Amino acid sequence: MIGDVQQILQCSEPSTSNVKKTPKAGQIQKKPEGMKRELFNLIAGKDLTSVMPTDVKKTYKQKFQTGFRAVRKYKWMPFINEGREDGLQLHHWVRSDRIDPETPYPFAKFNKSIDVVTYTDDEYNACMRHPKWSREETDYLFEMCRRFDIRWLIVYDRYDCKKFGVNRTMEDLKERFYNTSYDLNMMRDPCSSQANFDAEHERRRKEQLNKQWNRTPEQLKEEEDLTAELRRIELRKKEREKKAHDLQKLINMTEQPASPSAGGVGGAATAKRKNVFRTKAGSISVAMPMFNPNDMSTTALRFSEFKSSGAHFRCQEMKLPTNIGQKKLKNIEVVLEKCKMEMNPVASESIMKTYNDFRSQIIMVQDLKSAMQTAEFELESLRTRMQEQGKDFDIEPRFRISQLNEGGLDEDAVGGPGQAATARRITSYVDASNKDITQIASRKRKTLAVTPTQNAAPSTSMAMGGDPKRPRKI
Amino acid sequence: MADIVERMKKKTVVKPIVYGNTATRLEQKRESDQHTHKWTVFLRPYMLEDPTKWIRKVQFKLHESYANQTRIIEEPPYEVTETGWGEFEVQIRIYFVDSNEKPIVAFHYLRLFQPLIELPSGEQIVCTEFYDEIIFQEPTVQMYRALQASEGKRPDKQSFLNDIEQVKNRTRELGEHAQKEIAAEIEDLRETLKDAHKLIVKYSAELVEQE
Repeated sequence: MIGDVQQILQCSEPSTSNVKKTPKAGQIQKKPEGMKRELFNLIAGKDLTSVMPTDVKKTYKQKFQTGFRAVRKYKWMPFINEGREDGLQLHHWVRSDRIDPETPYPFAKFNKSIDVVTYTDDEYNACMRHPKWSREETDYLFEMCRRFDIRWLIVYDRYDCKKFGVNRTMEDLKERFYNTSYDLNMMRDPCSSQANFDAEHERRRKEQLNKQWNRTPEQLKEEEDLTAELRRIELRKKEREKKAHDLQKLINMTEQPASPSAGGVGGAATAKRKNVFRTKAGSISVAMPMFNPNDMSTTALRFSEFKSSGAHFRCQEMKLPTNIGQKKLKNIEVVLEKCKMEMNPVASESIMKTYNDFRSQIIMVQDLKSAMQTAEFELESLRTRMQEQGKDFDIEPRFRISQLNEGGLDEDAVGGPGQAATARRITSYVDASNKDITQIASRKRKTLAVTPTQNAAPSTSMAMGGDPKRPRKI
Repeated sequence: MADIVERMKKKTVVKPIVYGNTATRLEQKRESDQHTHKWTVFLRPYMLEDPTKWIRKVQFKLHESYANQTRIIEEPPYEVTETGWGEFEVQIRIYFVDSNEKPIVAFHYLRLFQPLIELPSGEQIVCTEFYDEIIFQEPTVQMYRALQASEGKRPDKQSFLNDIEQVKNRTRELGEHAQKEIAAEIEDLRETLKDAHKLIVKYSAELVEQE
């Protein structure tokens, strides 16, 4: 700035300006804006002539590059503003090459005048009567509107309330003016579309704005605090709802099919859920994982879908999801191999569909088998406890999933009463083992111990029955 | 790309292709570089059609030990013949005539030893041919026209050593057969599980009564 002023005034004092630009040694330097602190620490206090930017800002003189062209001639000319009605003549400077007496004054077009409706006595009497407005005041209002082109701020400012002894707000004026104009126009032409004026709304709006404007800093602070509090409350509410939802899902899951996410952990997860349920209900095995026969989708593998536009290979649609886990992957590999199928078959559309479905089904078998193991184990422990009470029941061979050898059942073990309906060949290749089955047993014991309806005896029996590998005769 | 590329809404075009390689043994191991096999990696349309209508070029990316690792073929046949001693994965990148349609990449594991196929002449040759389909989802208008311009009606049976239709059928049959088997087992397991559940409920109720 100072440099600019100096240049304008032509009083160059190089000595002073130079002193300003290079601060004296020992003086504390300020970090230039935008410079990294690390860089500044490196160069601070040293001779910076070599690192100073040489590209200084353009000065006033450079910005306005005068002296390129010869100065144009201007003339002092009289003109008449067509927007005025009094024909007042004024003068202004005009570039000498642009003098044209024919062109109208360029600002005349901004003198817009608005047609304010006029009315006759009859019309006034027909539709404009109002208990709070006299004919004279109405005339006065319309006159003012005409005079100031309905610029309401000015109309309001100039409106002489004392003249009729009634205090009018701007909204009163607007309301009277627009409503009468509206009525008048409707009377003249019932089909004309006219905007109406809602004075009440306008009053409220202004009041609101006023209030907002007049808030004190304390009120502002309070408002901020309140919104923050509201946000916190909503967050907590959402969290609570989520928890309740999760719990509901957990309960539902025990009655309905295992979801694909839970499928991997199989029996462990279902048993866990069951325990939750059982402690609540106070009795044993209220819920077992049941598979909805029509519901394939829950267990299905999620293959990538190509929805966006562009080109891709069919074989990409058959890629297994990357997050399916080692066990599922192993099962798929084994079953495909046993069925003499390829991991990456040629990729026509029907093959893609068949293969993708088949692999989903393998995962489903894994889930089912794991659920079966839990069920078998459950039946076993029930039987042990029945036997202690001198009763017994048979466990049909079809429930004996743990005795299924690789390769499936022999022909004579299929289809008979109590026997499996299929050879369960593919099922036999699927590994649905639960490594922490002993863990479940111990957890079960604990649950039973705390359940009040149980006496002491079953807990020991549970410990015996808790070992699924223990050979047992039917 | 500042300008908006117009695409054919709700249109899908499928172009069957086959890629793979053939390989034969050199008469004797070359002492200079230890190469033992001569191979050809290729990509061809499966149908009888003129691929230049929609393919601009095909880029084969070989193992890094080859000189000029990246080979670009702009005219059919899209293939690279080389000699070597080892198997590796070839990256095949297909560029389309409309550059607004992004190139796509297939990976082919080059085979030198398996599977062997007997030619009519009695000679044995290693040959793999992998059938795949390029799916153009909502292709650009230009690409759509290009794809329509070369619509192959009949499979190109001469160019391939395998009967690809037969391979497809066999694969599909195997899959469908396995599906039937597994569906029956799922049904069996489900029913068994349901019954097991009923029994468990029944017996536990009995036990509770006893106590």
